[in-house]
Amino acid sequence: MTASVFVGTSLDGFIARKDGSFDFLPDDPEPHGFEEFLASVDALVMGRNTFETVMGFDAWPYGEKRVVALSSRPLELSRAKGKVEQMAGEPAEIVAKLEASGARHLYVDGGITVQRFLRAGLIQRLIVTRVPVLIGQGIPLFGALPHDIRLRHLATRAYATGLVQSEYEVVA
Amino acid sequence: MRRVRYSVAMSLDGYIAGPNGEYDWIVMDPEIDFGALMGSFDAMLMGRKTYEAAQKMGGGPASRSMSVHVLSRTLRQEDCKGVTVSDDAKGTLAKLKAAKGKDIWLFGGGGLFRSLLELGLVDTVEVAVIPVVLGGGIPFLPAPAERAKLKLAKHRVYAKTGTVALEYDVARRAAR
Repeated sequence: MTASVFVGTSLDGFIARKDGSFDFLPDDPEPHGFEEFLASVDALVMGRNTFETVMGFDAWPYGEKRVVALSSRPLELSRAKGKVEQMAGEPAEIVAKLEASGARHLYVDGGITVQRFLRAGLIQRLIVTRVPVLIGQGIPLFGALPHDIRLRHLATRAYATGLVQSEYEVVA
Repeated sequence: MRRVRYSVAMSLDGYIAGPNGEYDWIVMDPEIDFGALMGSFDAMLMGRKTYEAAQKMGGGPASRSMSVHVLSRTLRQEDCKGVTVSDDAKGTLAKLKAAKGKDIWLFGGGGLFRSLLELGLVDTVEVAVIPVVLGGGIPFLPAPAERAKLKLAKHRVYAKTGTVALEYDVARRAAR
């Protein structure tokens, strides 16, 4: 199993403003590999906050892709029209369940969920896209961790609007 | 015109030092030409905490070819040999920029960067992103800071260590 994170951040390391909004991200970002990345995963795993944010979008951004929303409380799934299943538990249990159901590549998303999976040593790949802006405060990229995580740089690409995307693997 | 350049090493998650000021995670890529980088500056700016940390480590990276300016409201000039102490960031910068010379290295820390950014006095931001996640520490830009637009000027990968060097111009705002 491989679990990846694909995330946009300001240069100063924030994935969203304090209120969860992303108005510093370009309105209409040039293609930077998200569709290709999404096509490479078998399932998305996201926390309740991210799920509720995405439910507020006009259009569902994940097509027919299997989406797992993590929450120990009931979630309102009716609007998600069968694309979303709910799970609860420790990251290792979630990964084991998804692996048992045939998933080989997971996309882990959402600040707290990414942090929990990183802490559990269950993330293998990080794809970070830096937006050329400083926002000064917000929700940090990964949050607090009990120890440093060393990475191996795999590739970096720059885009015309100044996005710089770097791909890393976690050094075990 | 001399430029003020904030040139730092940063973890992937946006810290310039660990929670206790550690910098042992900063790997020096052998292909980075530090001589050329240092040679592009002849003045260095730092805040009190950075100055005090540099003193503890035996003086920091300054050399005879670089004048050092410490911005602090509490330090006294007579206690700080070999550096110029001032509590007036704007005045210090105006004087330095009016004089002829090489670029000015905004050495840190983040607090001084924030102050100078708010005054519109930072020209470029040069970040060497080190492939490590620290999970906490001294932020690149401490909150709360104003939003600033940047323009990507250059990027380069140093493959041996996986360091990604990013260079941005700070977008000019209307004068206030």
